[in-house]
Order: sequence, then C-alpha cells, then structure tokens
Amino acid sequence: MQVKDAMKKDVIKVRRSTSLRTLLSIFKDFHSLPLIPVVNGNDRLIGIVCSESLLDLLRPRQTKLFRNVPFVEIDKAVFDLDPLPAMGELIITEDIMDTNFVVIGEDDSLADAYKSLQLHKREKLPVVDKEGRLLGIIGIFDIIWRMFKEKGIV
Amino acid sequence: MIESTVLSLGIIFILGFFFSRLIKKLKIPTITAYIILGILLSPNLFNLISEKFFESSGFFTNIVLGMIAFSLGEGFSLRTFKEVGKAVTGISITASIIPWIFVTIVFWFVFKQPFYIALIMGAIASATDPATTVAVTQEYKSKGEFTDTLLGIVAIDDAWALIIFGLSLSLAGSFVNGAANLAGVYKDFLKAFFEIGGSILLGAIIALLFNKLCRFIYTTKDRLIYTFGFLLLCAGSAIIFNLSVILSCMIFGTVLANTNRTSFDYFDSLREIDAPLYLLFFVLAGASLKLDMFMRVSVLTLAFILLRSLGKTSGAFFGARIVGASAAIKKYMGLALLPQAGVALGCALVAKHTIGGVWGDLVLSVTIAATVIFELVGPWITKLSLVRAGDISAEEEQL
Repeated sequence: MQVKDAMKKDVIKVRRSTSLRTLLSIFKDFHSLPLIPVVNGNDRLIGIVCSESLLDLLRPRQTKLFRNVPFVEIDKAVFDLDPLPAMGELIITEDIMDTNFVVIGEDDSLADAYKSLQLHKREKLPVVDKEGRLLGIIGIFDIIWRMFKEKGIV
Repeated sequence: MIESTVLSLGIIFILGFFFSRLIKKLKIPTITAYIILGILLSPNLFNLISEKFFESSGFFTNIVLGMIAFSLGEGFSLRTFKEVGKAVTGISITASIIPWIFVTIVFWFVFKQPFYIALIMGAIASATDPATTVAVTQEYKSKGEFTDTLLGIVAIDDAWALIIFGLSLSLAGSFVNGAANLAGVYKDFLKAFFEIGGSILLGAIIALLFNKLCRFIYTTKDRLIYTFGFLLLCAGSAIIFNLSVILSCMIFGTVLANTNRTSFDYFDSLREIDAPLYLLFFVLAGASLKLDMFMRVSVLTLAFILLRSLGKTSGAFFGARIVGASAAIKKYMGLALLPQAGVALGCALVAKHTIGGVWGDLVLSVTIAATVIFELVGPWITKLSLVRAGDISAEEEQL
C-alpha cells in the first residue's frame, strides 16, 4: 500500500507572505495545531509551520541561535517576552517557517511512511511529488485508519 | 589510590554529578566545577585516581574535541549567517583574529617563547564562553541592540576560535623542530598547508559518504550509532593521516548542515550522549594540571590575561567600526566578550597532548589559570558592559 492511498488530500496551505495574524486566525478553531505547509505560486512546498515555530516567537532569540553550541543551557521559558501587538502584521510566515523539513513521496510505501514518522519523531509529514509539489499530508492516524479499513474494522 | 579504570570512571561521574550540584549554589559555572574536581582528584592533591588513568586519556580528548568541533560546525550554515547578519559576522571575525595576533606577537617577541607556543596561546585567546554570556543576559533580563549583537557574536565566535586553533596547531606541528634556513621554513609551510587542505577534504568526503549511506538508518538508535560512528571515523582517519582532528570534524559538521535536509536530527542525537563525555573531559583537564608549573607561569598568565583583554576590546572596536555599529558596541563589546571556558580548555588539553613535555604543561597551566580568572571576573565585566550599553534596567541591576 502506498502513501497516496492513505494521505489527506484536502490540506490548508499558506503562502510565505501570509501574516502571523491571518495564520493564527485560520487555525484558531482546530483541536490542535496541524502541520501547516507553506507553498509558492507553483504549489511547491517551501517550508512548514508547526507549534514549535510559533513558540519560538515567544522565546528569547537565543533559544534557536544556541541550539548547536556546546555547554550552553538555555532556559526554554516562553513567558518572558512581551511581544508587541503590531507583530501580528509585521511578522509573516516566511519569518517563522522551518525550511529544513522531512517529506515523503506519494509512491512510497505506508511502511516507509511509518518508519519515517518514527525516525524523525513527527506526528505528520507532507507528501510531495518528484518536483516537490505538495500533494497532501500523512500522519500516524491516517496510517492507523487505513490499516483498520483494510481489516474490515471500519 | 584507585587503580581500576572502571571504578575510576564511576567515581568521576558520581562525584562530578554531586560536585556540580553543590557548586552551582555558589553560582560557579559547571565547567569550572568539573575542573576543580579534576584538580582535587589528581595526584597533586588527594591522589584518588591513579596517574596512569589520566595519562592514558590523550585519545579521549581528541574524540571530545572532535565532537565539540562537529557541533560548532553545524553553526556554520548559511542559515545561521543569515540569521545573525553581516555586522555580527564582521565583529566576530575581528574579535577572534586580533587577540590571536596580539598574544602570538608579544609571546614570541617580548616573552621569547618558541613561535609555535606563541601561536597556540594566541589561538586559545580567541575563544570565549557562550554559556556564561547567555547566563548573564538571562539573569539580568538584558534587552536591546547590544545584547542581540553580543549573543549573535558568541553564538559563532567559538567556531572561528576553533578554526584558528586548528590552523595554528597544524602550523605549530610543522614548526616544532624549528627550521634552520629559508628552505626549511618553506617546507614547514607546505607541510602545514597540506595538513589543513587534507583536513578540509577529509571532512567533506566523510560528510558526503554520510549523506550517501544514511538511507540505511531505520530507528533513532541506528541514527545515534551511525552519527557517532562517522564522527569517530572522521577523527580516527585524521589521526592516521596526520591531519587535524578539529578541522576535519568541523568541516564534516559544516558540510552536513549545509547539504543534508534533516541534519538537525543527527546533531541532536549526539546531544543525548555528550554530557558524560564533557564531564570526563573537563575533569581530565583539571587533573592534568601540574600545580608546581602553575606557580611558575604566573607572569605569562598575567600577560595572557592582559593581552587577551586588549585584543578582544580592540578587535571588537575595529570590527564594529568597519561594519558601522553603534558607539556602545564599539566601546563595550570587547569587554562583554571576556569570559572564557570550554573551548579554550579543550584546545589547551589537545595542545598538551600534541606537544607533550614541559611546553605542553605550560600551555595547559596558563590556560587553566587564565580561564579560572576570566570565569570569576568575566561575568561581572559582561554585566557591567550591558549596564553601560543601557541594556540592563536599573532595577534588574540591583538584583
């Protein structure tokens, strides 16, 4: 079974120019923040936004800057900063998106997708075609659902 | 005295754990706590651990400094440079190079030390202490342009310091016997050049091989074994081919960070095992200190402290001037960069094992003595610079 058989194709995606305020308002009614793909004009995946990307805005800048520096112990507190209300418009998705992300191909097997999710400790992964265009998103629950369906449970 | 290596390791880890807890209450950095523990355990004082154990640690220091270099190499990605900006990069370069030149020239010409010793001491002067700097800015809730610039600089300047040290150690290795004529000097330079070029090439090849084979990783455990294995492969190959462990491991990290999309996972996996290795590393640094040498190098230590301070202030000043930074940055940035710790000690320990003998002890003794002083006074000076630059509010300053 392949990734394209189990992935979610209806995906809410944003552009790099989407403001922080718009981004937050799109997702405010979700149970939890999903993986948000950022695409360019050709639908190519150029970044992702997750809870960590948003938390970084509330953390001191050094949290990100010093993650590779040995011996530095960073206090990961998120309540010390006083973000200005203007940040909602001043910050756009491009400023916060993560450009180092893991993807999975539509033709990969479900077993590979599961392995990749475990290996990279992710809940969901974006699915792309050979040109890097976004096709959907696959998560642990999509795989579980597919397996149950296969056995006739649902 | 304990002769068993396994028991020695157990005692070092357990004592290291409790000692760092105890000493944290006194607001002394963890690294300093480990060094003091090393001095206490060494044959100089309580003689708890056998000398044989400490002497056989040369290979271990290479592995740990390779790990530090690999981690710092990750910081040399296009992303980091974009994040910190041109001004910070500029100041970080001059504030690392000028102390190197200052200390080298004065140690060589005025104190008549051998050229290779002067060069190594100069390189050690470049390193700073990001951990202490971050701790000071967090403790006093420092905010503003000066703080942002300072944090940007300390996030990358230890990487410059390690490159400078790697280059200096390669040059020093070539000059250690002292060429008699011009042809000899030329040959020494050529040898150093091949060592440096070879190290860069080795690091890049290891990174490419790493990328090629990483598809065979299936689990997070695999990833740790794979990454640690490749790091040892890199360090080990550098030793076999007489190349620089530091430079090759650093280039390995840099190439990996710039070519592998999921490189952060590999760097993170090593972080799971680095804490006990770093503990052992700094205890060994403390234990390697010869206390009689400590007293004999007091003049050199004082000179090193003064020259490094002068180098850092003028280096930061020139850099700030070139990039057109504010008056506060020009004036106080060098002072804020004075704390010095982990990377300097690591370099000194590797230099001791590479050079050996009395000169090796001299490098380590000066560095440890200077580090202890910079660790005690440095944070206070960093705080003062932040206050003068107007980044610490009056009420936070009173705390």
